Amino acid sequence: MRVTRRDFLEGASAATALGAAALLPGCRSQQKCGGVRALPPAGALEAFGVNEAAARRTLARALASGGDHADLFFQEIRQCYLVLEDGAVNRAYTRRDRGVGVRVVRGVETGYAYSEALDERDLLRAAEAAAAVASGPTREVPREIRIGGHPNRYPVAKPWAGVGTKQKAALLLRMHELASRDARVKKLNISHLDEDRLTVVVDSAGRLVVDRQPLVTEILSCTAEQGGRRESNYGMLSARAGLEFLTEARLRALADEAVRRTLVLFEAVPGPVGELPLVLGPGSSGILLHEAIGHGMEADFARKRLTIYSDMIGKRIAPDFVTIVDDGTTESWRGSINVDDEGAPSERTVLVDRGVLRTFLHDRISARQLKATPTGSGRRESFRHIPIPRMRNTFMLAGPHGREEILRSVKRGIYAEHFTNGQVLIGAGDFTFYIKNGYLIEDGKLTRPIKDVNIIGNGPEVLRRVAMVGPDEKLDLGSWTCGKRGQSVPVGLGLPTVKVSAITVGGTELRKGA
Amino acid sequence: MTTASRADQELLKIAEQACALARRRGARQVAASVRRSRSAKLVIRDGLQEELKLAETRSLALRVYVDGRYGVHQTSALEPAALERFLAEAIELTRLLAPDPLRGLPERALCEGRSHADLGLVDPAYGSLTMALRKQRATALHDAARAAGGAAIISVGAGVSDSLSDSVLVTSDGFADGERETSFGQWADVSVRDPSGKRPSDWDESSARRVAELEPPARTGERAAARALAQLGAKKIDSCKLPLIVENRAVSRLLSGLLAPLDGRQLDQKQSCFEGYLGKQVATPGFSLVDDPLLRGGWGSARFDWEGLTLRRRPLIEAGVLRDYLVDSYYAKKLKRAPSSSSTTNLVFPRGAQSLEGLCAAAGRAILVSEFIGGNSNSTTGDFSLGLRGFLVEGGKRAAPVAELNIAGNHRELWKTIQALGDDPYPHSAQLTPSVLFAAMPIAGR
Repeated sequence: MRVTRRDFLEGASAATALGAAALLPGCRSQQKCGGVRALPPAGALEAFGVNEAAARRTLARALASGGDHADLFFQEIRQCYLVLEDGAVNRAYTRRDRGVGVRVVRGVETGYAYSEALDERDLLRAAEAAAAVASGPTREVPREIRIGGHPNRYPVAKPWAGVGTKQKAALLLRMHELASRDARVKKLNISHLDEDRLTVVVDSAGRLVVDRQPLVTEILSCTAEQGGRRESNYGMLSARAGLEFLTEARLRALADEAVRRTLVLFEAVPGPVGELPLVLGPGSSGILLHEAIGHGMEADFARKRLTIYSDMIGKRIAPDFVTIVDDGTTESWRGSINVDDEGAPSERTVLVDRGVLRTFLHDRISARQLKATPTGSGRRESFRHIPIPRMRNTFMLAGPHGREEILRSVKRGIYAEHFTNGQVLIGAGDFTFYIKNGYLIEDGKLTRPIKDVNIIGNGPEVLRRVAMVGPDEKLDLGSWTCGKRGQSVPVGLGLPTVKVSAITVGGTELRKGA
Repeated sequence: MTTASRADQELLKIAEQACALARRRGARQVAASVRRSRSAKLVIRDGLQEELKLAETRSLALRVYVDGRYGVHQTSALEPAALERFLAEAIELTRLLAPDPLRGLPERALCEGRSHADLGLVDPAYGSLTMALRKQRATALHDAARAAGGAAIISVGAGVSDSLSDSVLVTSDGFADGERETSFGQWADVSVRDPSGKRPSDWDESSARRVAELEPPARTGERAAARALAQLGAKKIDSCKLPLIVENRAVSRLLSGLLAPLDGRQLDQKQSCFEGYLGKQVATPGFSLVDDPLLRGGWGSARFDWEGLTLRRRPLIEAGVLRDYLVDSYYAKKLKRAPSSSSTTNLVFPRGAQSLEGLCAAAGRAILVSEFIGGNSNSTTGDFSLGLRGFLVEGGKRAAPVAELNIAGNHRELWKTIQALGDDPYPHSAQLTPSVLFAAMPIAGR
């Protein structure tokens, strides 16, 4: 178990899990189709072969040496990953994973253990291991367990369990056909991932909460040749939805966009070096918020006083036309959750309200320690991980400026359109994001394309430099995965057109006075 | 084929049974890998036990070849009935894919003649490690970092972790072997208060195959604190063109951009900027890169790879000339090449003559990179752009800390600009990267 210190955001991460790595157990890969039953909450525990009495005995063992809180997190994950290469859907990766995580919390201290075997003796063994974090008198556990209800933010019309492999393969073949029309396109790699996660949280307050999270992701990667040169790029599409999400129009848009983004790279000129005005196009530019402020607003960092935003609640950090929300309730969006992985209801959390910092994103521990209202942000990668505060879908609301007005205001700068990844240093506030497609702005107009340029800035500084916000608020449907403390979770991003007055652009074209 | 005594018998049995089941269900060939690991982690932050985690985990992955079709199926539910159901579904699903005549287990000859040497990966004393001992070590780390950091400290996190894992690979061709390994690690993360309101942090670590070989915890803690304090006052500087010194622990981030295009899949899918570069100069003559699987106690040491291919020492770059790609048996067939294993093990570099301080002295004025931040590399074209933080080197000495800078370039050119390598291979990774001094390049700042 080596430490993972990198907090990162990646697009299309499923594509990097391909091939040989898929065979190595314990890797972050793919897998498993079919067999999902609709389950009423009442029978949810029993689906894991566990009854209420066993759950209560396990909680009792977990709190046998004290502790303020204990919970059991049962989870079953089924994944199916299909890949088209060289025109054929000729490989499949499936995964079925199931187990329980037992957590004991005492103040800000956490004891955790998990088991893939679900016999009562395995549950009790895990509970005993997790209980080692505490040392005190036994705490009582509830005599009754109440089932909590919640609205469903991801209704599914055509669940993946009922979709055959041939039908999924046909989607990939259709995208292949749609993306093959330009003779310059030489290679296409197209993948489909569908996933179903059933989770049941039972805690020492006597709550039982069930959720079932669907997820679908299509990634189309394209390599083209022109004039002896090669370029690659990709497009992605993801949602908490079933087959109904993958309409012909969406598949066509994905194919067209990936090909367009690839071919434009042949026209690209070297990116500039130094501080320049930056205009962010609507949609995936929300990566700016994720890195510049989102991570810094996660309350585990705040309660440990590690984030640059630690002492800024109630203070102005951006102009008054800047409102930033983290919303777990947007229907079918990739980062939406009905409940978090501690069983708390999801919500729409306003992080920055008209320029003023309002609240951090909390899990149970941070909300208690900082005496704040929980925000339903405690998430985990799987039953093998402890819940920590995480973003869901993070976006900026529309502002007062016109898109043309924003572009016209820039004499010389860059326009960012499509991104691959980003990262942030929580305490220093320095963050980056990588522009795969962009343009130079010259005299208020988009002119020549640029590519493969990293941007680096400082969170609070960049927020102060948000000079204009457009009307075209847009949620991105990309397959964004956030990695923090070694845990990957799906998230969503969004932004209207936004101008940042100056930020460091990491191209190769160094010139005096840049 | 002989079964090495180190392979865990219980796991071999699970893998053999899974292979037999898959064959009964109609798989023509099958490879089963099973892994089990036990691990513990304890993190102490500001005097409290932030996280105490114990885990024991098992999983099985099967590569199945059915009717000329290929699928990989992974499960952690290993009870016989559950496994039988899982396999039946997995094989049915695989049958529905397009056939791929090039798929199959690697040729047996490629899997023979592997070393049976003891790679020194196991600490026989693993079982004697208690939670009290872990707590003692984590506390010592924590306290040393806090004492060394003084008044500027906001928070100290100190962690220890260890694991014991077994893995086996069994194929329907008769391959059956496995390995056991232990690992021990310790690290500290230190956050300090900067007068500007920033809260910079930095970390340090130590790791070993045997617990007794870990360095004294106080030393790791003190280094982490010193690193964090050194960040105080970090500033962005003007864009400029300067030599770049990359500290050993940060080099792997650059190296990944050199290695990715060497992969067989990238080559086959026309996403490699090094296609057609075998035998050509890709780095300075003083640079070489050797994949050495049999290094005793190495973090990447292995006798065979995930396919079962026998691993041997192989030069990837010799005197700056590209000598080999990383190709598995499938892409080898597609590319009409000999397979060479798609995974690297321990990567070994020539040992330079100078310490990091020596490299600074040689450079005069330069940027010393202590960490890269984000950024990416385009394996099709070799273009890269990476954020960084570190220090300005002036008069041959490490001077003021710098932040919020970025470098960009191309991997086809970058490695040809190496001026010198350090004498300091990073010991806590399978990539034993030394510090590297590169010639002047554009650095984006203010």
